[in-house]
Amino acid sequence: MLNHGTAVLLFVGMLLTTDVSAARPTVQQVNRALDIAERAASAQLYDLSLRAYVEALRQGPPSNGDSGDRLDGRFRGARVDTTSPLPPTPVQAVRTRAITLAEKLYPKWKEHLGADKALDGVRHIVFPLNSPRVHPWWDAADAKGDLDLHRGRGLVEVLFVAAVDANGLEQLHAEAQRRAADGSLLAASIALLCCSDDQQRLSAIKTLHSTAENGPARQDVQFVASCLGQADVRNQSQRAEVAAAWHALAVQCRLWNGAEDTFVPALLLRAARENFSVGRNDRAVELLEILHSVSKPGRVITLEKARDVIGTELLVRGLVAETELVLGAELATEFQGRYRNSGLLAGRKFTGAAVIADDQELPEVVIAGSVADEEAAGRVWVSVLDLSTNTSRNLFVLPEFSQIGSLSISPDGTELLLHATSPGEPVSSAQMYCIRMDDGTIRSLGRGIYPAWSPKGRRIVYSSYSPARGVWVMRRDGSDRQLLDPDGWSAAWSPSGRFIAWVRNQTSNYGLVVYDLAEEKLNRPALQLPSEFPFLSAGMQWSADGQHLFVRGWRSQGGQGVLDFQLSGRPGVSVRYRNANGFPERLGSVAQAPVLSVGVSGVETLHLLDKDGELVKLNGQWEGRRNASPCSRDGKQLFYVSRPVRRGGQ
Amino acid sequence: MRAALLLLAAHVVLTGWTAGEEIQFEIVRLESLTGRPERIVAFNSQTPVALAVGPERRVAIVEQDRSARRCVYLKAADRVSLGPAQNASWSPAGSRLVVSRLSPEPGVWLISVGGGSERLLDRRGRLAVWSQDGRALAWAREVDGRPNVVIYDLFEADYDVLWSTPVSEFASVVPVAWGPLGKQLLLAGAGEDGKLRVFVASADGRRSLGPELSLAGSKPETVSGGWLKGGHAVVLVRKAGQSRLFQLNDSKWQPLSQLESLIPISIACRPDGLYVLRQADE
Repeated sequence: MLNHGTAVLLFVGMLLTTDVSAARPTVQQVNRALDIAERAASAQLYDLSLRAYVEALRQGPPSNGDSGDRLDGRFRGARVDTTSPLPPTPVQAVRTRAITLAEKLYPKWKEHLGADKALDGVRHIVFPLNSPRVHPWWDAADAKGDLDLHRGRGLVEVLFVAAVDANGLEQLHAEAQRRAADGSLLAASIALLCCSDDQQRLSAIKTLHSTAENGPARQDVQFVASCLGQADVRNQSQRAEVAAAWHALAVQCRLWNGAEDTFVPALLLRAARENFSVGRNDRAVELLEILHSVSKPGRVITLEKARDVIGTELLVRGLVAETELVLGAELATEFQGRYRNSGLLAGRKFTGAAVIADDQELPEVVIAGSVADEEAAGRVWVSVLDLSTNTSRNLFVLPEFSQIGSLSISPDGTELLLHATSPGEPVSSAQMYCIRMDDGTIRSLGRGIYPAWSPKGRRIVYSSYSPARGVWVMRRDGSDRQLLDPDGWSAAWSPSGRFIAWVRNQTSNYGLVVYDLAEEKLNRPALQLPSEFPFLSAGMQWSADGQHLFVRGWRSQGGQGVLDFQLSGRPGVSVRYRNANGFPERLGSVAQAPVLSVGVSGVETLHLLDKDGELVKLNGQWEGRRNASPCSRDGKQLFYVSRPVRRGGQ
Repeated sequence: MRAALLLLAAHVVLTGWTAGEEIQFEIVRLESLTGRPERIVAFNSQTPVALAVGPERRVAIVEQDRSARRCVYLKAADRVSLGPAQNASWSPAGSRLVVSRLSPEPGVWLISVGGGSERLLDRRGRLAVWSQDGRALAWAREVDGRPNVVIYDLFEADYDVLWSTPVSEFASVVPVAWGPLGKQLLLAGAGEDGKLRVFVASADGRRSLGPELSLAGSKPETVSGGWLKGGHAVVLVRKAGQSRLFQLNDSKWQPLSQLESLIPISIACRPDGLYVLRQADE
């Protein structure tokens, strides 16, 4: 370890050899001062360490000097492999070192000198004493990872932490504001981070926006983008202004040397997403076009990678025409096929736009009783079976759908969910509808299948083919859609609300999974499917106590059955029911027992499956009709869909 | 200028600096109020001020550092720091913590213990506590200029405020702990008269406030508490280095003298007993 005397001598030596009043120190001078700062800290001379550090850096980044910001001679004339990161230049290296050192030493400065003194030192590095400028000592590291915005803010991050530690955020904000008024974009960015009210925030975002339109320096953009990305945006007008600022910032990329690093594509992508999120698809598409145009074969972000990303961004939002516009018709078609068949979004949470058209024509729902009996007889009904009196009554008369199912009654009993497909349309175009129980008013929740309420009825889980295949959740009103698992299908919410179970379709990881909303973790119960039932089918129900999951399975010999997954106690899977006749059943639940619609010769009837695996036909259901899609809220009433027997059936 | 700096350097060399001494603290578990304390972990620290205990005896402590800011450390022995924060509370399986951070962005944060995702839930919220069933978080936040408590339902991704009509007699209110079934909250508030008030309220906000424990005097350093196995709420008020314990019995707050000999700094209630943070016996 360095002794105190040596450290002082080193520091004095540095002072004598460094003209700290010079405009910018050289790389060697800064390196020497950083040596002193580091060694003084090792010798527990923290005051000396902080002062050496500040003196070294407060005049700004080092000039090129004799060993400036140029590639070393050994690289001259060499063919540069642009797919690999370039070695850092001396300036980049010393910058990285300075920031790493500040991050390492700041806790010690704070601990031993106090938060106020540490802040006072650190602020001089970012805000030089006699200059309105802000030193852009932020871009320490190269962008990390593919298309991730580099979020580190280097010394500003240290400054920010120091201001919070010393209760000096207000002071920092005032200083940044003062310098922002002098036209410093970097100061405006720092001011944005420290805003304390909405007015300040909107004003700061607007300053950023207008300055960005004037064409910020290339070296400033990364820092500004980083601050913009972490701005505390609180309302729609701020969000719109932020999206406009992203656009203004990102379109500058056209003036630079293309996608020479990962930052440019990351910036364009982020800006496009921000604009998609405020409905400015025109701006977003423009940015994706720029991304496409600046991506070249052999770059760090290859053209292929950029095309993948562009295709995903546009297709998950259903923007097929725009995909053709940006990528060309041939590629767009190829991507659509690839997109449908692959887990392109695996591992990512995606918040998609609602896909409900304002002018969508809704099916007509008629309250039963207002239709003449003879006319109603040939139509589809939603009925309810009172399990205490064994009597059914009709609730609604629906139009003829080719498929209809997944009834789910809201916890408060006011709305009924279902999915339906119009005649001639494929299952992938199934729509979800919500019918008010009191007056039959119907609203669309967009494309999707197997919708189910959360236990408090504030959210709905469903499966969908669009805008991306998988298991999704949304709010009751259809907003705030989020893709939970692109490999999942047919989900059901546990009675406690904590878990959502679904079938995972990944070839290498097939089976039942349970998502824990408290821990935000996907758990795969260590349960082996019985060899007789190698595949699970859509449609599952939790028991009322949340201890069992009843799931339909496909038998290897043909036909289906019901598997009982015991999730607590001694977990295991048992076969509750076997059927070899090949007709599909639909699964519901009354309290602990699953309810099946069992098809015999084309006519489905509702049965309760008892503990011994015996089917007990439910009394009171409509006779001579096809009854299916049972669901119950309280175990006292069973809602179901009743359809006329198709011509030729029994 | 150089001379001034030289003098300063010499001053630092001559004056030096003496590090604060750390002493040993421990976390003990009592199966019941009359049970024998069982040591869970011992650790050296300067000033631990609060405790959070998760499943499998996972521990997070809040420590006040020299600049009076607080840091959360995971597992006292490992001392993995989560940075400056006011408090922490565990998720039911212990894979996440809800933390009231002070920096880099103040607010209520959800963080994964093993690294990974971090999510800021509310920039204006503070002092969040997690219900034992994992469903809800409660944290303090001003609503319409009055102190209130936000109840965030993680399963439904939606929140409510505890009192639709703000409580006017408090200058501040913070949640201390959830009841065992997630139906009640133990709250501590500062009255307009400067008195500390501790009370139990229904988490749905509909019922009136329960019996109040009212304590005059200076502002407490910490208030911790929860529900014991028998269903009684218990609270520890730490003020000026003194610990005072109270238990809610038959709708009355009564002093709880059994544990005062332990000189607890902070307590946490779990289904398997009461955990106490205290200075270790020499």
